[in-house]
Amino acid sequence: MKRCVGIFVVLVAVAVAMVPTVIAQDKIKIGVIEPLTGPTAYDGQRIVKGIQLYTNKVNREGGVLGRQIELVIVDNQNKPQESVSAFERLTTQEKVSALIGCWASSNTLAVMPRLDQAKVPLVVETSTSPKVTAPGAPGLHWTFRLLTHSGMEAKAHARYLTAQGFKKFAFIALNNDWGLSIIKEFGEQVRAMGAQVVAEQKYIQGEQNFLPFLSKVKTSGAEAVFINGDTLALSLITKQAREQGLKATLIVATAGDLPEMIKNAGVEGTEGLYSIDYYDMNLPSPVSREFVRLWEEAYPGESPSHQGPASGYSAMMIIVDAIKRAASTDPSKIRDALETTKLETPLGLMDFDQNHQAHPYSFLKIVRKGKVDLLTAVPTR
Amino acid sequence: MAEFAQLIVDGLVSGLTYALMAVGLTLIFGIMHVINFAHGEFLAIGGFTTFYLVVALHTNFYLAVGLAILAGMAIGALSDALILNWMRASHLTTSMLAMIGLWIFIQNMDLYLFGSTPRVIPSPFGTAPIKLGGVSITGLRLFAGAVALGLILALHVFIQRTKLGKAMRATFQDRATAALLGVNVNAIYRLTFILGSALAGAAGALVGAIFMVAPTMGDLPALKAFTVVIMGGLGNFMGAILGGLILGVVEALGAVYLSPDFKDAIAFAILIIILLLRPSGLFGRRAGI
Repeated sequence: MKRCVGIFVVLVAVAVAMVPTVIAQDKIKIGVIEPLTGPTAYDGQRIVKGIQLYTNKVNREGGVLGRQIELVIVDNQNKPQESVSAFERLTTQEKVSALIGCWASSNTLAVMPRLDQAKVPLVVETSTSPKVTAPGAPGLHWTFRLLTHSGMEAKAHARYLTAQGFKKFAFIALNNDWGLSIIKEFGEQVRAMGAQVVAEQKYIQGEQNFLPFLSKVKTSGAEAVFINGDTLALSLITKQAREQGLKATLIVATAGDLPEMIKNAGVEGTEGLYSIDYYDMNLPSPVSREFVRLWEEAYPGESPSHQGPASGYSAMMIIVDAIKRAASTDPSKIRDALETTKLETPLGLMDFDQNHQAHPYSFLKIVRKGKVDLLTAVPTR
Repeated sequence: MAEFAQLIVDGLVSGLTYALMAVGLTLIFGIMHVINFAHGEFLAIGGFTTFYLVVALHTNFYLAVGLAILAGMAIGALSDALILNWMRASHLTTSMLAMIGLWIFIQNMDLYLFGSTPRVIPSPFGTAPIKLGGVSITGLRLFAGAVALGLILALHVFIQRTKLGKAMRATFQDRATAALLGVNVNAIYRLTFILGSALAGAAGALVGAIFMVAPTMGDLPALKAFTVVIMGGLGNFMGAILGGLILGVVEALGAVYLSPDFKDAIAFAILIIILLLRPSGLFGRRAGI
């Protein structure tokens, strides 16, 4: 009898010890691959904050399919090789139901060929190289992209920009898939409008001294310069352009964090700066307003105007919506549900075409006296 | 012509900041036989010190730059006391690994404490450039160039003209003999590390004010400084200065007349050529400090 009691006590102890594990296993795991350290950490962390914001909202409201969501966030240092190892860890060890990532196009393109084997859907929150959703891209079956790609943006804005009287364009762009696609796509479109491209400058991630690039642009006689890069690089280019007395108009291609740039490069330095953007925080839809309200509550004093937080938030919304409609956390079923997504998000209406590319609006903004004004919102479908 | 002059001026200013970093590195290597991989992080500490002093405590900008130098000294003294002091007798690779560890530790500590948002140090100089003929330069860059030059010269005078400097030179030439002649070699090591780190702190304040302050701000300058040190000859003081200026100017000219795509490649191409043709650097080691 005594022995039975002993066994009983042990069993109870084991059962009690197992309860938290059972609950933990019951969570739906979503993997996130973003740059959290290195020069682009600022942008990556803002996306993660957006993802967390929606996740917390869902979890507070009882989760999805009655289960809580657990984010497994891995730093890719904005490197393709680190993205692949993060991907391997998330799919083989963590066994996530879906993935969000991987910021730079070069990272996403490194991960995509592995999706067919891993059979996990990837919602691409940024990566705007046209290659990501080009027909026949490896892993496209499992990939869904929210933001417009460079080709769509170039088409949307080339007419407006050349109509401003700019006849000679230059580029200062990152030497990676993103920057090169900006040079290619915007170059083609402005040439088609009868303008010239007089300088194409590529720099390496982490560059801080842009004076030589700006000298070259100055002597090329460019009237407008497409500048491309992360917030830090864009701020430095803008600040140094002013220091060097460059008269040409700067056009951010694409998506500078304008309030941050105004803070860094000054009101005078950013006067008349254009920016091609994926997001406008003044969109009147209820989801957009709710996002802005939640963000401002969670991060007072930090503006959500740059697309990072909104695209992280929207990516998570889309995944949660797909899980709900699939009524399953099986990655293949989530993938199938993603194909029929039709959801209003802070980025606009998300509904994927046959290449899994969404077609939200593309925005053109201008900075005047330290304030951001919306010039046009162009549909991209 | 104006473009050429502009590039030379921009190149010299960048070159002076490279030299400021490189002089500290080469001194530390020449005297202590330590390859200081954490040098770029000392720069970042100088940058963050200046930023917080100016923005949070409203300290005068010039005073803040001075305090950043002190912060460099403090982190140098601390690193030497806690880490290098225990590795005096060990092989070069041991202290090198420890310094790599310190590099990673400080960078992640900065990221944790200050976040990744790049920050601007407000300076008393406006963004509008000063124009001299066809050349435009901001007041801030002129100031940075002058401070870098001043500090390098001050250190040079200290090493050449003072008794402590003489002890440093003696240790550089032959540490065993210096010790026999009554030089406290351990104290000289510490002094060297503190002085080298002070220059990195100063570079952080200047580079941070010109560009921005962020946890990774030291990576590229440190890499460039290593190139300069190897170019000028390991342990060669004048070599580090000339190497820095050459690198700055060549980068600026190469970016425009060759291709900006090669801006960073140029530095390393020069490095490879020098290592092939003159393995002990342009000016050799024996020229001394």
